[in-house]
Amino acid sequence: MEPIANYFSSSLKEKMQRLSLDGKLLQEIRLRAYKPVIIYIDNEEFFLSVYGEITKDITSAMVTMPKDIADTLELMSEYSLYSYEEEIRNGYITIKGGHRVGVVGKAVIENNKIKTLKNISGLNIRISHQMVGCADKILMYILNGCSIYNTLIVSPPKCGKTTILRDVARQISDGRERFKGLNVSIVDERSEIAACFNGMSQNDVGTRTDVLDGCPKVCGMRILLRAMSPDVVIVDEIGGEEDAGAIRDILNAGIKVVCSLHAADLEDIKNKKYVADLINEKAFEKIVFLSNKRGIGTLDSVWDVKSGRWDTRGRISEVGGRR
Amino acid sequence: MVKIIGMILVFGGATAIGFYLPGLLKKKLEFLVNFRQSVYLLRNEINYSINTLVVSFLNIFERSNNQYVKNFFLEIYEQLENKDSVNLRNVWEVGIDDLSNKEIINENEKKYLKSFGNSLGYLDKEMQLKNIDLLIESLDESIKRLKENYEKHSKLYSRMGILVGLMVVVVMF
Repeated sequence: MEPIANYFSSSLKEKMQRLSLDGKLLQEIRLRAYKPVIIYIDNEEFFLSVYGEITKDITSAMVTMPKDIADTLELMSEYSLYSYEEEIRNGYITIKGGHRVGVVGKAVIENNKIKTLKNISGLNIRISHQMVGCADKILMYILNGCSIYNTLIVSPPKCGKTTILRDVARQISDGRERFKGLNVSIVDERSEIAACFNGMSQNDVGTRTDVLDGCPKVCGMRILLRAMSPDVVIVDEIGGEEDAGAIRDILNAGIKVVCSLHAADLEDIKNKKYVADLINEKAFEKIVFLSNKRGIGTLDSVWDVKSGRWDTRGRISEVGGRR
Repeated sequence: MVKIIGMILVFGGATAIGFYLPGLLKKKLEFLVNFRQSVYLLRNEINYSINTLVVSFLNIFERSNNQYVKNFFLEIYEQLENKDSVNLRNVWEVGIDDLSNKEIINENEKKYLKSFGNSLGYLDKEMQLKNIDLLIESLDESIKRLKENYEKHSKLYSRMGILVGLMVVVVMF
């Protein structure tokens, strides 16, 4: 708990430092004004007690005061809220270590757009975990000799798309047995894949990887195409018409793409017009479906677009990986 | 013999004081000029690079030539980076008090530098830039006043030191 604890206000820090997780996976810490501190460990909800322990008993839970939230946000923004203006407008900031902090409060509106958030009343700290090797099984479907297939990774929220995408980037970039590493470029619009902090990637995304951090996807893909001559472009959560256009540009240049998409299944994808168009054009060669049936990042099935068949070699299998 | 040694000591002492005072003024002036330059750097760090204060302070430390300015920003950077204190205002104030104790800044400068620290990091970029512009104006005034003072008095202090030393020697002799 030590490194993340340092980002909390003094009263919370003291208790966070005392917390012992015994190797369990800390997922989220939620601070809400005048409400108990809630901690999610291994998909289970606990309260932080006034003694700095995790408890199920709400009566002994520590209550978050607005000052705790203000001080915590000040520390997390490195005393520089101005430098996170854009992120706060989008409702989150990324801190050192790649952890994502969701922010809510009173929205200040100007010209029908959110100018900023004030009176911050809640923080959701999502702890970033890199799962090294979690894409091992998926790579079996993606690799194509010394290159890769254009791939779409599909799953509903909270099924590990971004974590898988990160490991895919790392493995394609570093290479593996009988596969020489390729130049990978990532457009990390929301700083989720590489989790850059002050421009430096906080996650291992491979030795041959360039990251364009915080840049809108469409513009980022075109910049990378011109500037970095990548072999593979990786981008998270596509969906819009312009995204589809930029992907076509990449494919026309002979560059491979690996993208992710929020969707439940093939039927759901058909409702997303621009992505469905890409699939009909056979822009993607493989579509990988993830779920959380056997834990986050379960490899559900793989659709081979060219043959129009389901590849069930690894169907319903845990993805695995090391923290 | 003792009298001669005494005379040499008195003359030397008075001359040293005469040279020390303009030296002190020069040191203060150099500090303020360098500090103003650092504040310009901070302005650009916030306006163009949109860096956090912690990163900006480190960059300023690396670019500054003045030892007092370097130390000031390095100490603040280290404390913020180590998360020793949750209050930037306190860390800034301690740094300013330290400069005041070393007689690098006067009471007026101490006051406006502390006031600047109170709104550092608070609210949006626009507010930061306005705050910095206000500080630069105050620093400009201090530098102007100190420059005039230095040009006016530096030669006077050193000559007075020699003259007073000589006068005492003559009286003693």
